Amino acid sequence: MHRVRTSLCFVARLGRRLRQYYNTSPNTLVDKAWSCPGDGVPLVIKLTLTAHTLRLTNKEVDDMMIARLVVGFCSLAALGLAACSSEPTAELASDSGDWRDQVKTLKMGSKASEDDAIALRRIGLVQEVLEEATGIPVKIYQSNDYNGIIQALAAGQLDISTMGAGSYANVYAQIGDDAVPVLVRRDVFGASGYYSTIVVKADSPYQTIHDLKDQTLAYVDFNSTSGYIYPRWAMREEGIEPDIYFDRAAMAGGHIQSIMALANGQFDATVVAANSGTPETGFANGTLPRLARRGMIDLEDFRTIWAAGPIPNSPYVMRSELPQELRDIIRGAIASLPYDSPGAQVEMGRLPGSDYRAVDKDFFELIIRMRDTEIKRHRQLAAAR
Amino acid sequence: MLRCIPLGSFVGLIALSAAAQLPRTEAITIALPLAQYSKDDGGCYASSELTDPGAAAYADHLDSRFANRIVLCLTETSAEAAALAANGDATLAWIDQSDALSLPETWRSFLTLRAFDGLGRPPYVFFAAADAIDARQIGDEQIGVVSREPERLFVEMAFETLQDLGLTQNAVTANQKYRDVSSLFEAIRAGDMSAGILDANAWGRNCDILNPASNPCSDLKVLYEGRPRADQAMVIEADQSTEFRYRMVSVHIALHLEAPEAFQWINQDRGTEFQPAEHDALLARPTIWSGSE
Repeated sequence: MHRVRTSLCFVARLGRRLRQYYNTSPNTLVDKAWSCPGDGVPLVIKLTLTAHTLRLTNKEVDDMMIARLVVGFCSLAALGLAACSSEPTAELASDSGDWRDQVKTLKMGSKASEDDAIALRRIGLVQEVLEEATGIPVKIYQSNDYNGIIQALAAGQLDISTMGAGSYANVYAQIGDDAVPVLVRRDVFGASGYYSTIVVKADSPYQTIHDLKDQTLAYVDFNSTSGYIYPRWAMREEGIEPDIYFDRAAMAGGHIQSIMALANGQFDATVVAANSGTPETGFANGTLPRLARRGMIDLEDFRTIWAAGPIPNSPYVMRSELPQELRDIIRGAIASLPYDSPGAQVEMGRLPGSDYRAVDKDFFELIIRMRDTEIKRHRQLAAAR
Repeated sequence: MLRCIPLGSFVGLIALSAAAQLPRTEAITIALPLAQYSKDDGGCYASSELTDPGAAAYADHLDSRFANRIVLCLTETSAEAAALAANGDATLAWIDQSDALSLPETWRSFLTLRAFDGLGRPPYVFFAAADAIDARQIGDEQIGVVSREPERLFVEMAFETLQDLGLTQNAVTANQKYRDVSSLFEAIRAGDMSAGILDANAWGRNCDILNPASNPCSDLKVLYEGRPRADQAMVIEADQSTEFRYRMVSVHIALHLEAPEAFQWINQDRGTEFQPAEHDALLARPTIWSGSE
C-alpha cells in the first residue's frame, strides 16, 4: 500500500510539474485525447514527456513505471489535461454477411508527429492504399506518444496501427489476442529486425559503453522497444545493470527528442533506433540519418558506440474483432504494395527491396518476455525501497 | 489432360465473369499440379471430397476464409493447370514459368514461394554512364557486379535479371566482379566498364535516393529496374477484383503460420512461405526496357 501511495503521490507531483510547464510554455505537452469508450474502459491520454522539461531521476523513472502499473491511465485524468469525446469506434454488428455492413470507417493509429514529414507521408500513403482496397474511409489518429497508440488500440478506439514490438507487448499484456500482429517489414537480406544504438557527441571522450559509467543517458520512452526495453535487456546480458550504471537516466519522449537533448548537452549519451544495415555495415536509416536528411543535424557531430539487436521490426497490429475479410484485405493490400507499386517504398521514405512478411504473436515472444521481466524488476525494486 | 474429372459437371458451371467480385454462390476453383503428391487422383474435388489430409487442410482453410466453395483441381503438370485457367475452368492456377505464355494476357501472377535462401526476389537496377551508347550494344563482359556475400543476392540473381532482359546468357566472369559499389561506380565512370547491375537497395543506399537534396549518381543512368523472373507463380485473371486478390494474398502469405499442414502440402518443400508477386513475375522482359535513347 505504501508503494501505491507513493506512486499516486508521484502522479500528482508529475501532474503539477506538467501543468506548471504547460502553463508557461507554448509547446504542447498534451495533445487532444482519444475518444472515451464506455464505462470501465480506460481513458487514453497522449503525453509527451520531454527530458528537458521533466528531469526524471532513476528513482522517478521507477516511480513512473510503478505509477503506470498501479494507477492505470484513468488516474492520469486527475492531471486535468485530458478531454474526451464520445465519438464511436468501428461498430461491429452481428454478422450480416458483408463486412461493409459492420464496419463503416477504419480507424488507424499513427505515432507520426506533425513535424515528421516523411512519417506523415508514409501514413498518408497507407491511408490511400487502404481506402482504395477496402472502399471505406480510413481515419488517421495521430499521437506523439507511444502510450496513446497502445491504450487506444487496447481500448478498442483504434482498429489498426503500426507500433514497436515493445508497444505490442504492452497491448498483449492488456488484451491478449484481442489484437494481433499481422505484418512486419523485411529487408532485402530477408531480415525483419533493426537495432538499438547508443549515440554520443563526436567531440565527447566516450568510445564504448564502458566509458559511460556514472554518466547520463536519455532513453526514448518506457514503451519504446529500441529506446528502452531492448537496450536495457541487452546491457544486462553484457553484465551492465542500467539502473545503477548510469548517474541519471530520463525519458526524452521520442527518438528525435533524444538526439536533440544530446545535441543540447543535456545528456552524455542517448539510445535511438538504427536500421537498413548492421553494426558491421553501418546503418543507412534510423534516427540519425533521418534527422540528417532533414537538415536538423550533421551526422559528423555524432558517434555510435554501441548497438544491440536485431530487434523484431514494428508490426501492423489489428483488433481481432474486425471481420476476417477486412483483416485479410488490409494485410493483403499492404503486403502487395512493394510488388504492385515499387515506387511506393521510396515515397514512404524507405529504401527499395524490402517487403512485408506475415507474423503472429510468436514472432514477438522474446520482447513480450523482456517487457514482463522489466516490469517485474521495477516492482521488486519498488518493493525493496 | 486430366485423368478424370469427378466433378466435371460442377466445374462446368464455373464461368469466370469479367466482373470484379466472385458471386458468393460461385466456387473458387484452384488448379494445382500436385496430383502426384496427393492421395487423390487427378481431377477436381470439393474440399469434403478430398482424402489427402494436406490437400483437405488447404481446401478447408480456404473454405473457412471465403464464403465461396473451394474446389481443387489436381493436375499432373503445370501445363494442365495452365490449360484449365486458359479455358476459364479455374479461378487460380499454380504454374511454371514455361507455361506463362500459354495463358491469355488477361492473366497475371500474384503469389510466389520464397526460396530457402531467404532472399526473395528483390528488384535490381541496371545502370550505365549517363552518356552511354545504346544499352542493347553493351557486351556481356561489360556489365559489372559487386561480388559480396550473399553471392545469390549480389551476383546470381543480378545476372538472372539480365538474362530475363535478353542481355546475357553467359556466367559472370572474374573481371566483372568488383569488391564494393564504389569500385563499380568508379569503373563505369572511368569507362572501364559499360554498365552495372545492383540490387535496388544497394543502389538506393549508395545513390542516397531517400535524400532529395543529394544526387551522387546524377552521372549514371538507370536503364531498367525490375525483379528477376519467378520460377513458378499462382496466377489469377487480372480483372478479378483487387479485394479478392488481396484476400488470397493474405491467406497464402500466412498459410505456413495459420495452417502449417496445408502449407506443407502445397509447398512440397519448395520454399519457406508464400510472398506476393508483381503482375508479370513469370515473364521475360526483353522488350520492356528501351535502353538509351
